[in-house]
Amino acid sequence: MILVIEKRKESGELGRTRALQAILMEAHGLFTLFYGSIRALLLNSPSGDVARSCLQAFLPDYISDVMTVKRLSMLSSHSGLQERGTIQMMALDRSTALEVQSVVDLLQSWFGSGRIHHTLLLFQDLLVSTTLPPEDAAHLYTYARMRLIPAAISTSSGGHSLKKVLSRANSSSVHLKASASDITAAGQRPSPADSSNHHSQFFTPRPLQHDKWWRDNDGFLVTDAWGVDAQGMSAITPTVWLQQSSQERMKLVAYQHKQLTVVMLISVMHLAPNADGSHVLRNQVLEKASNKLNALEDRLSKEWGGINANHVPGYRYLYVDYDSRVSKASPAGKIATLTKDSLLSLDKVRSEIDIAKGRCDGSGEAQPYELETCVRTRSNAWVVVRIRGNHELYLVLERASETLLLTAEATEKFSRRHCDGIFASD
Amino acid sequence: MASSSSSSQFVRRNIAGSGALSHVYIQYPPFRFNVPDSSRMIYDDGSRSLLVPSGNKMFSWPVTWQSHSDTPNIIILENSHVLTARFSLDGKILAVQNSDYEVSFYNRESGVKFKHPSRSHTERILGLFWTDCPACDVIFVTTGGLELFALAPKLDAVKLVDVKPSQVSWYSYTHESRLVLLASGMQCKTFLCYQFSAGGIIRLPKFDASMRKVDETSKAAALTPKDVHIATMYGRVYCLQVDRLAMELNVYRFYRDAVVPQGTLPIYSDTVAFSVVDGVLLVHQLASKVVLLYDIFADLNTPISAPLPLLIRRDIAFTAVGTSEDSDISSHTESKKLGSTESNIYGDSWNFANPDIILDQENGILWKIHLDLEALAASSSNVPSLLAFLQRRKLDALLAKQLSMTVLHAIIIERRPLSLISEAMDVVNKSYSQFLRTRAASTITRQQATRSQVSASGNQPAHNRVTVEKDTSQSSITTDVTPEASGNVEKSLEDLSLSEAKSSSSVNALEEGQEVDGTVEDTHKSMTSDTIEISKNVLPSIAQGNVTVSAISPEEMHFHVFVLINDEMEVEASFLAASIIQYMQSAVTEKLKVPAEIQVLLIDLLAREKRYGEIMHFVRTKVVDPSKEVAKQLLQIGKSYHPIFMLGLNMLRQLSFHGEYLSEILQQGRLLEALRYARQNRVEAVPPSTFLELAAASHDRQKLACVMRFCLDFVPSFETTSEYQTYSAVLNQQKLVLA
Repeated sequence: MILVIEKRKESGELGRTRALQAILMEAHGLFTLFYGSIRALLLNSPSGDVARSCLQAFLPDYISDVMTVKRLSMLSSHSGLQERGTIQMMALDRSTALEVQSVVDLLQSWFGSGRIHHTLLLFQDLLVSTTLPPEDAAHLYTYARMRLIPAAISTSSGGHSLKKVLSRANSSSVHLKASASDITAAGQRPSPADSSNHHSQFFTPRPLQHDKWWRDNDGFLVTDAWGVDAQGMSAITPTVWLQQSSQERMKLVAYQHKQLTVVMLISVMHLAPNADGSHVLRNQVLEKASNKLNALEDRLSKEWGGINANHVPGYRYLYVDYDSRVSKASPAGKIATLTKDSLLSLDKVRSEIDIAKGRCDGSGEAQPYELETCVRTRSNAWVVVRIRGNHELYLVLERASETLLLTAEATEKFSRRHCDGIFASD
Repeated sequence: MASSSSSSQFVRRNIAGSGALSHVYIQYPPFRFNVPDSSRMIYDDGSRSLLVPSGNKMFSWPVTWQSHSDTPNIIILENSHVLTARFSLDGKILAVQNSDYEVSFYNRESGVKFKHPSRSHTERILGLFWTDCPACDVIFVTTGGLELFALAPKLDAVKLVDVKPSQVSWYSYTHESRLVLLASGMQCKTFLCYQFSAGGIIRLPKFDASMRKVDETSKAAALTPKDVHIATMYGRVYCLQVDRLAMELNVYRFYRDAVVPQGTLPIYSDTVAFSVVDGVLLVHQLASKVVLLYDIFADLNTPISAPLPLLIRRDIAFTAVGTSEDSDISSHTESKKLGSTESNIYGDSWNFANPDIILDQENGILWKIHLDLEALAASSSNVPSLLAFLQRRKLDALLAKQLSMTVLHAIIIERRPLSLISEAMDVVNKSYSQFLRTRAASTITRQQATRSQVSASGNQPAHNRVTVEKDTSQSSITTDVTPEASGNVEKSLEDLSLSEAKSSSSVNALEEGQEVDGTVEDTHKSMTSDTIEISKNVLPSIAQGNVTVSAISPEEMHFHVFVLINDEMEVEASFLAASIIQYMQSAVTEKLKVPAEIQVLLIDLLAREKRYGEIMHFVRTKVVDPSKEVAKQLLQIGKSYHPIFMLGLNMLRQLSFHGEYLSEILQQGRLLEALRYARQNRVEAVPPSTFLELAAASHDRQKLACVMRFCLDFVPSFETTSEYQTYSAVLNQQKLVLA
């Protein structure tokens, strides 16, 4: 993919290449999540119609999300302490973590083995737990954060009558028609929705359209972004493609209670044809699991440390673990207190490191890449970078009087306390 | 308390049990005696002995269930007329009631005899019992009330200490509860109770038995001693009262200052008898010859088992009851006699003695009632309540533990719903943490006891005929500690249980655990003696450690449940992993430590299904505790998934296992980093030669030189070692080759 960006004179710089690449990576990840890999689409319809219509449906929606008033929103100056495409975890107590895991297991067990393949639990916009492998988890998490969490779903809940759903679906799909047989071939087998739509017009799902998700009265999230069934009676359950774990197509069912969002993935393969498993699942979740989930929400909201939970006084930091695609950073509000100068320096250091890393990746060395840098900026701040293999730590310390030794010590302390000592230098 | 050695001896129980023909059985051979001209048997629950008067002799046997052919103790009586008899609690003095107005005392050791006539001829003596109450030693129950006597210092006379006057029609006393119930009134339905325990005398408020009026005309018959039973269950004292007209059994519980009705049970027979085995109430429906079991901690309204008859179990090998007799038994001369007694089950000559003894007066046989836990386990379908029931067993704790583990094993193998497994795990862990708490409390008590033992040892009752060494310390706790607690009587509505020491030392100990406390000497003693008996056959290692309990430790859970299931490979890894998570979750809520082995197993199971993301998540959130074992497992798994390897490596470093960490990074060839690490953390376990060898093997001259420099700088007197010679030669050689 190619991303074309207009160079703007007033800001003077483009931002890091890697940060821009991350946008493309994210777009690609989301696209494969919704439609499967482009390669598979092309294999199934060599003419490229399907792939093209999918891209047509997807990219404008995505770009509208990333762009704010003709400017890439991600390229604001404090992007240096953020990492796109990574997961922000909620810090959990051991017993809470076990409780979460126990609830997740119970949830999966209640519906027969293998029916719910994976779950993803979010509290607000933080990931609590997932059974997905890191790559898929990151993609689904990104999507959930964009569209499913309480802050993102449509506020006009309850007001959606089925009629409204129908009219919406028809109007939005006019220019996105593709033949039903093509899309069916793209999937491993026709989903019930596909076959029921066989004679009517088909439209490519537009999962990233705004205000397409709303919360039903029973706590389940519904969307018509994947269309409605032939009778126009109900919305089609969304389906997603997992890349890393099974290359399989999954139905996505989401349940929300206050700040807790549970995303459940059910294998399409395991569903009897012409049966939308999600209805059974919904009843069972309400019957058996809702109490547990509500109790869990209570517990999590008690444990949640607020938006500044990750703040470490004196430090502005970003810690990325590319193995599990998890990042932890100072809250945005705190990053904003840094001077522009320090942020620019950080950006510069990061782009240097990106180049160095790229060189290292190319050389194919077996040894993990390791790096320690301390840079004194013009405004007498310190920019510290430590890299141990796939773990990276970026620190900005704005204490002018500090010596290099003190800075190293502060970094060491931070590593011990907040990163399990991964970045210790010895 | 589980040792790994015990695992090899662990005998897995089969729940199939004895075909569920009965839930309660009496074990053949019974205790049998041959005394000519004996007319009747007396069971003295205070000294746990069987007394048989015959002519002018009194034969007595301690009832221990270990040696049935004990030769009896014989005491020559002056008066051959015996109404009742009881040994003092130390077993030295036998008190024999000869008539309504006279009691004789026989000192077994000194041979001193003395008589004590009734105070007045208007009051008949109804009975007597010995007590460990500090104020008195023996108490007469007369129609005019209670008379409290103390023994003279030379043990040659008794002195009246106190009188508690009241009208008494009849009375009921059990030593286990230390509680005497005096019935009075026209229908004998007004009860006055006293408890004479080591903690002092407690007078309980009077209460009336509730008798439902079926209709106005029928007149309720007066209550008889057979209608009222004092039952001690799980250390709590209850009164069971039969309402014959309404066919109901009323249950009351005694508190220090109140008697609280607990509900009613239906009875299905005109005549019922009661036994308590290990806290379980057995209601023998004599007419229909079946027995119903109730557990006060479960739902009192529904029996825990179907009504089934009491059976005689004939052999020790736990085979089905009712099979044809073995040849050696049939050759036994007694077998014929047994034939008649067998048909005599629930016969007229049966007397039910407290708590679990049956006296067959006609045949001169003493039976002890046992629970058939296997049959109970086999017939129960509610797993959590079955486990809770098994976990409450004290008498046959080892069997209960094995059965519990079998049940746990079975529910996972059978892939029962995870929510059920979760409940079951909760039951098990609750019971174990309770056991830990009570054990902690009892160690404190024991320490206190040993301190005050010297002073109090004078009046220590010697029940220790049960001959269990460690038991002596347990029973002495009661005598030593209880006086301290006697000041706490003012607590309202406190349990009138036997553990008075509870208020001072183990307030947080719940009722179930009190027996472990060592304060209820009688139940406790029987428990130890029984478990010792079993453990001699099955598990000697456990018996040496501590009192066997039914609680399952996390280690046992690992060895006897999870590992077994894992080895059998009948359940897929994900289900076992989910079960382990449920177990860990409930263990952590109970603040139990989950052993590293379980966590290693969990990681292993997840890795088998390649759920690496979850492993990383568990390690990050500390669901899996960092430990050396876990780190090694991570390194092992990490061979196929590098990020996990890094996780394991970092864990080793975090936990400061320097040697292991160094050897791992050396294996990766990170020589210089290893040197840095060794210097930073002052690791001296790894000899310089290891580094040098590796450097030489890499054929990198620079590296070797680096290591040499390091050794020269930091290893004291390195120049004098042979390694210095060897490797400087190697270095020079490489230089030459290069040149």
